[in-house]
Amino acid sequence: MRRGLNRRECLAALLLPMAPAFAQDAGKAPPRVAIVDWGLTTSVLSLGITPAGIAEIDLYRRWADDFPISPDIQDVGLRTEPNLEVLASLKPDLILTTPFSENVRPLLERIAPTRSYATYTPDGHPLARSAQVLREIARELHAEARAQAVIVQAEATFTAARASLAGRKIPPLLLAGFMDGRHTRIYGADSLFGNVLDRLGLRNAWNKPTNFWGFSLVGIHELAPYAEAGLLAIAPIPPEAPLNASGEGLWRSLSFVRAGRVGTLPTTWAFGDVSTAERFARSLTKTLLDKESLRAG
Amino acid sequence: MQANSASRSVVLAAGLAALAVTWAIVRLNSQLPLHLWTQAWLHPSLEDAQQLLFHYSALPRLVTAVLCGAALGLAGTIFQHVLRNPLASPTTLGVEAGAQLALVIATIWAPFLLGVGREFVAVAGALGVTALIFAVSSARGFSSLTLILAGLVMSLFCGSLVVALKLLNQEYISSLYIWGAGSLAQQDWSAVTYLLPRLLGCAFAAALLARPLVVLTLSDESASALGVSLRWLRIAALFIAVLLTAFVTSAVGIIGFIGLAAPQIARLSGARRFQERLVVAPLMGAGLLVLVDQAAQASSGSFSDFLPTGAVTALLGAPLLLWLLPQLKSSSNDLAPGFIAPATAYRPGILFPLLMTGLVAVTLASILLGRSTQGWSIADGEMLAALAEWRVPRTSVALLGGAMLGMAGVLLQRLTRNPVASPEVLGIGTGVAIGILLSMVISTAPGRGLQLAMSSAGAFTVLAFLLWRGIKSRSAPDQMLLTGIALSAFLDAIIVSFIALGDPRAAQLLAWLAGSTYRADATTAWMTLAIAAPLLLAPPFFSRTLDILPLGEETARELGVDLRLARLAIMGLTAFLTAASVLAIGPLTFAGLVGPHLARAIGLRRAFEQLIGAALIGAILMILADWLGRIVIFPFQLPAGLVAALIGVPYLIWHLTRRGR
Amino acid sequence: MQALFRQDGTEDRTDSSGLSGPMFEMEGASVSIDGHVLLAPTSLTLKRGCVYGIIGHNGSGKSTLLKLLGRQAQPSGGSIRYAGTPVEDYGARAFARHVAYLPQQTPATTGLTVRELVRFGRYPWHGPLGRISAEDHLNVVEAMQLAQLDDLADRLVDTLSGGERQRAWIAMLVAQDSSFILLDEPTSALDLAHQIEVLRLLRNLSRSRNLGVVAILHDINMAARFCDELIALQRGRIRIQGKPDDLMRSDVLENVYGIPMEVIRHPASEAPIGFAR
Repeated sequence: MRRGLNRRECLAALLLPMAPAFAQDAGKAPPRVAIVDWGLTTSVLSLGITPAGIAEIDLYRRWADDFPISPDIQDVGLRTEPNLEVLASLKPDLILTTPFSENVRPLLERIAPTRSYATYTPDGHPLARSAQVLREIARELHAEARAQAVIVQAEATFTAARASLAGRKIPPLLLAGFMDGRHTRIYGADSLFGNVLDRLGLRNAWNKPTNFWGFSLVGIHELAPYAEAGLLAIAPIPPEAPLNASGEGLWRSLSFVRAGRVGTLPTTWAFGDVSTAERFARSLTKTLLDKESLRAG
Repeated sequence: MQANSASRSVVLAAGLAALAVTWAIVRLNSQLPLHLWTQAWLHPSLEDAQQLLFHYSALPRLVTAVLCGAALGLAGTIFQHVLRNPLASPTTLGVEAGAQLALVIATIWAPFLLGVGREFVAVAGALGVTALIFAVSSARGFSSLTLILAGLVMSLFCGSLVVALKLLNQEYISSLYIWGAGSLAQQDWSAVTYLLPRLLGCAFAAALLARPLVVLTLSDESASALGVSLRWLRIAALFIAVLLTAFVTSAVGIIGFIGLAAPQIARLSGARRFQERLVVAPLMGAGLLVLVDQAAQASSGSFSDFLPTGAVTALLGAPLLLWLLPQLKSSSNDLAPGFIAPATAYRPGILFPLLMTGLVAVTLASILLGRSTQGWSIADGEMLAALAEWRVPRTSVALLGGAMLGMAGVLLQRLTRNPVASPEVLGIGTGVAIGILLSMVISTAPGRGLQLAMSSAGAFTVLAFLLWRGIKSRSAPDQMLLTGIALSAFLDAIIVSFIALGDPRAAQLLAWLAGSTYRADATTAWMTLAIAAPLLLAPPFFSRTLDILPLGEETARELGVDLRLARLAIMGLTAFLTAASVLAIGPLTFAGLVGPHLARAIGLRRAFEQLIGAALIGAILMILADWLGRIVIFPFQLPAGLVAALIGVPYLIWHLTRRGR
Repeated sequence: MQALFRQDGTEDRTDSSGLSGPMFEMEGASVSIDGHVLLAPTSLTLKRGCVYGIIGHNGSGKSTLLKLLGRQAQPSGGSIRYAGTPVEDYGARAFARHVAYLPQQTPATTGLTVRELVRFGRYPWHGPLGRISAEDHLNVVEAMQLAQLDDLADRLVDTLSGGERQRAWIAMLVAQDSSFILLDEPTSALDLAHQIEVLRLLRNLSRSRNLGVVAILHDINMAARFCDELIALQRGRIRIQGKPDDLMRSDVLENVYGIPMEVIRHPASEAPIGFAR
């Protein structure tokens, strides 16, 4: 699953030596922090801060982000049920969590002050929310300048991408996460990915209602009406997905498939934060620019 | 009259199938006008999305529904006939559990296998588990009870493994949730071409066996006397039914209830003879599944997410089963008591101190011995003071929960005279799960208070329903079991649908469903003690009645036991014990199945002794499970209920095979 | 106690109607299910100290009649009174102190010893929570002696032979210390020796304890030999009722069993013997 050094990693490697400078703004040492959510983990790592403990390290690296993770960081177990004894032994100054672990919060509070941050709220602007969450976390961790830098850099990426895509005839896009041979998630306007499309001036083809997380789980047949769209499949793509299948079927007959308006995107954590969105914007732009066929005819 | 009722059932089944197909045609017609059908069927125009959908999606979906429904109806008929149990279904022999386990393992460790063929992985898993069940049952001559028990226990084991793997690999398996909910959505004819020859082959084999199978209507002894080799007949028939189910399951996922309901409806509509049911039940199954699938499609337009057909069958099937219940003949005769005979050694005088010592030992181990980031450690002094805060509440809650489950199991097994009755069949656990699910829907940040309130409300709603049905059915214990089973299936369907939608919050629900002591703190531990203490003291007062109940209704009545009152009181107590334990340690109540069995096996025969013994064993099992769950894959943790099942099942299997020699 | 088990088969056949006590009275009691009449309106009076044999072929309503008396089934019409009070007015245990009932098929008794089974007979007296008194103990010991179970007391019931098991169940009924004992084919699964053993036990109990015994019996000659009165049922109705001597006539038996029957006298004892021609 490793994709070798990508731009994000290079960037992180470049920035790493500078991290202490950012982290120590206002001259205070950053508090020891433990995190039980992957989106928030990405946020803290993007601030150049090494947390004391995070959850499910191996899977985080495979599925969410590939920030270099120092061996000093302790794995605290499952996100749903972090190991309390381990958390307590880390003696953190602060624990970061999300509202979905609200029922565990009383337990976490007994170990250290616990802050809960919601990127997903019913108003459906996860990108804007995650920038705000990043700032709030940075305030707790005394890394506000670094947070500002991360956000500014993301904004710059969005602006540059928007400019490079402007004027090209790009069709409305379906952002798909294939589940198996017959079902896929489609990310709507209120998902993190949908927000990024907006920022890049692209149109999201999916106009049907989505769930709390901004996606909709549908059968392949639901894609038939979107004749004029292009489809981008976000990795990982299961081996039996129609994308990989040969032979006759509805998928092969869909007009955007026949026209070749199908592309793939590298693994990106759908419930990530600002830097996840930035990474998504980069890979999206690259794919759209590289692949001629994706542009509307 | 017999011919009349048979033809009536055929007419009824044909009518149902016709109704289903008519509805399908009407719906298809609204999507694509009738005159374009031939063209769309033979040479769909690539420019017309509706024709493409008709050709590649709607039509194969309809045919798949017909095939799957018929296959499940046929499989269910064979299962119920061969196992002589009206509640037997593909689930009984662990077909789905095996397929699911194989798929989970392949998804995580060998994803290339899925590219080769998801179907083959699923069929291999199903057949593997069934083979194991057969191997275990062979020791006891393939008796129905052994097969059912082995199937139940193996399903539990596979199910627990699946949940454990899912918990540890959340991201890998979201696709399997869809499979678990059974979706009939199609995008080509591959499912049809896969299913058709295989199902036809099985149906042909079933037809060949139809005549010898009729003999199984008789008891084992009479059938043997007629010169039928029961062993091979049973194996062959079950193998066909397993294959049928495995093919369907591998193609479209788990479709519940059709295999259970179709043969039942066939029977109730007048198909009294086995051969009649072999024809009528598949017709019913096909009709039912097409109807349900059309309903699912019609309604999913109005939701943001799709409705998996398998979940809808369970949603509609459960009320159907509840309605059918009063008409079902009692099945407890098939499950006469005495699955595990007591050991000859009989010394409660020694056993109780032994069990108490065991309890103290595991309690101490659970509190003192553990792993930290520095490795193994025995806690003392300051370290103990720090760790006790986490370990003592967990251990106490596990102890109390296990003890309550042990007693609830004894009550339930003696009340229903059913040695495989386990508290979780009451559906209280799923009631609580629904409560937790609702708390997630109501609030984006459900706190402890809200969850506790909602889960208690869930438990007591189910409790009230069980008692209401109990009073209505004049306290018939069979009805209580069946009501519980139907209720669990209904609530399960809601949970499965929610999880299938891929909502990340499902992980929370999954963790809770696995039966965790994780959330216990000092307050909950004291609360649990306050509730558990009176509940644990009550059952011994029913000892004499519990001794007599297994002797059956006539004897109990003869001896002056007020059956309605006694049963209602014991049912109520069982339900309260279960509800309290489910709230404390989650819905996996395996300790309630294994505690009573083990107590009996070591020689605690009388109700009073068995109650105390099962409570002690239940407590030991849960503490041990909680402790192992914390240390085995440190720093990760497995929920205690899950671990209890994983260590309890091998014991039961071992017991099953041992008894045969 | 041995005196109760006399060796010869010539027990006296004096009528015990002189003994008084509570009686069973059925008045027009009937049972029908889904329009099928299992028992037509039936009136019957049963006394203590008397052994009644119910005969008739399969489906004649014998078990239904017995179940009505034992409150194991509800009548569709009519009434059943015990000691002048409708049976449904008795509490569960109160009724069990008066009437004991043995079903046709005794249930499996996994893990129970003989002594434990017999002790269950005292449940109507001490109930679910009451203290077990000296009298309870005495009754259990006596019942086991009567049924000659002393040597088997600690054996598991499931490991006993058919006759022993039947005796264990009857001992439970005896320990119940009731006024009436109802038995549904208590001898059907037994060989000849055990049949006689069980019937003799019942008859002696009836004499020594002034017990009313009502038993469904298949063997007409056994019934005639051990019962004081026979009740013959046919298609849900009492066809004939009377002393064995009155019933043991070929025309009566033909009527009851629906096949040609003949009755001869035993050459030595003069007892009537019926058989199919």
